[in-house]
Parts: sequence; C-alpha cells; structure tokens
Amino acid sequence: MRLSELMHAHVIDPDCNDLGSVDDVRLVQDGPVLQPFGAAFRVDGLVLGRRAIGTRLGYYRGDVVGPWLLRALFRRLQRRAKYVPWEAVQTWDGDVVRIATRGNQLGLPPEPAGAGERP
Amino acid sequence: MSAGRTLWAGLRLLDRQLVDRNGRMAGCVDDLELATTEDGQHLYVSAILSGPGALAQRLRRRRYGSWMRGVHALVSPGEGDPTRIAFNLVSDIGDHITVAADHEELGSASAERWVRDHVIAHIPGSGHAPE
Repeated sequence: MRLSELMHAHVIDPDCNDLGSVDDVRLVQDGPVLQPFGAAFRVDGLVLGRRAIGTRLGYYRGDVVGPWLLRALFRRLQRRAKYVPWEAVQTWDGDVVRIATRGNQLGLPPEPAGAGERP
Repeated sequence: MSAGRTLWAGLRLLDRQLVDRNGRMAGCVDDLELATTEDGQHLYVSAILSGPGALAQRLRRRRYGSWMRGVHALVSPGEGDPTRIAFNLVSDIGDHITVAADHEELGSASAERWVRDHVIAHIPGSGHAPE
C-alpha cells in the first residue's frame, strides 16, 4: 500500500455523498516501534478539501495577514475542510474510501504541526 | 495508543529532500509505503519510496512506473526494492529528512552507481576525475 493511493481518493459517506478527495493524511507517532527510529507514524485520519495551499503559505495559523483577498480565500477554503478519523473508514479500495460517518457530522481538521515550524 | 508527535504527510514528508548521514543529498521522498498493524486496525508508515519509478506511480503513470522500477531493479541486483528506504533508518525529520545510512548504501543511488561503474569508468581519463 502506498500513501499516494490514499491521497486524492474520493471519500463517500453512508448516504453515497461524495465528500471530496483526500488532500492530506494526518499521522501520529504512536504506531509500532521501529528500532532505532522509535514509534512509527500511524495514519490518524484524512484531511478533505483544498486547504494545503493556504497552509503551505502560512495562512492557516494567522502568521501571514495579507494580501486580504488571499487571506479571505484561504479562510473560506479552511471552513470547507473536513477531517475523517481513521476509525470512521469502513473500506478503501484504492480510488474510493467509504466511511461510516455522514459528511455533516465531520469536524474540521486538527491544527497541523505548524506551517513554517519544525514538526 | 498514546498521543505522540503529529504531522501531515503531504505537507511534511512528501517531496522532502533526503540527506544521508554525511550530509550528502540522497534523493527525495516520492511516496510512502503503508503497512497494517498486527491487529489489522491501523496503517503506519513503514518505508520511504524514492526514485523515478516511485514518483511515476504516484503521478498515476503506473505502467511507466512499473517499467522504471524493473529497470532500476535490473541495475541494482540483490538490493530488493531499490526505491525502498525502511523508515527505521530515518534519524531526523525537519526541513529535510536525514537517514542513518550512507548515500552509497541506498537503493535510490543504485542507478547512479551502475552508470558510474559500467559507463563512466570505461571513458578514457575518467579515473582522473578528482584531479
């Protein structure tokens, strides 16, 4: 299995609504131990929505305040983003991820480990 | 499982520069290999995939990617999957990703080594390159 197969896969909720594609994957370092590295990065959830561009430019955490038009655009994109915890994933067949949670019950993604700061 | 360090794979890992233990550049993170935990409930990152074949597959050029991986494996006999760098070799994740291995040991450099040994070495005068 590859991360690239998961990225850009379409996420479908129980009502067969297409919630969009996977834009990023959140990892948490609490997986099986890989010596000498330590705990592996476990897939914690899927970030839906075109938000990564704003994050890369520093808009997510408010470090970048202008131009106002871009800030407004990225804030709007941020509000549309959704987060699917991995526990909600029922099946994944490559191009389609089916989840057990309805789209309107999904929350916003947790803050990333910082735009412009070391993870 | 307890909470640990978090990061976004696309933002923090993909396309990052790989640097070997001596500070030499050793390719880029073109993709990540995911494995299933023993209980089958979770996925975790088990390896970094680096090389033209890995990148082609990520860009949905699967036939070209398979061909490139085949060529890559041909010029690096005995190395298994030459694009695979086990994640336990990672020693630091920051602006770049440092791996606790030498550039020469990594499969991502095997095509370069093959060209050096089978092509460049046969060019008259190539043995004097450092002079």
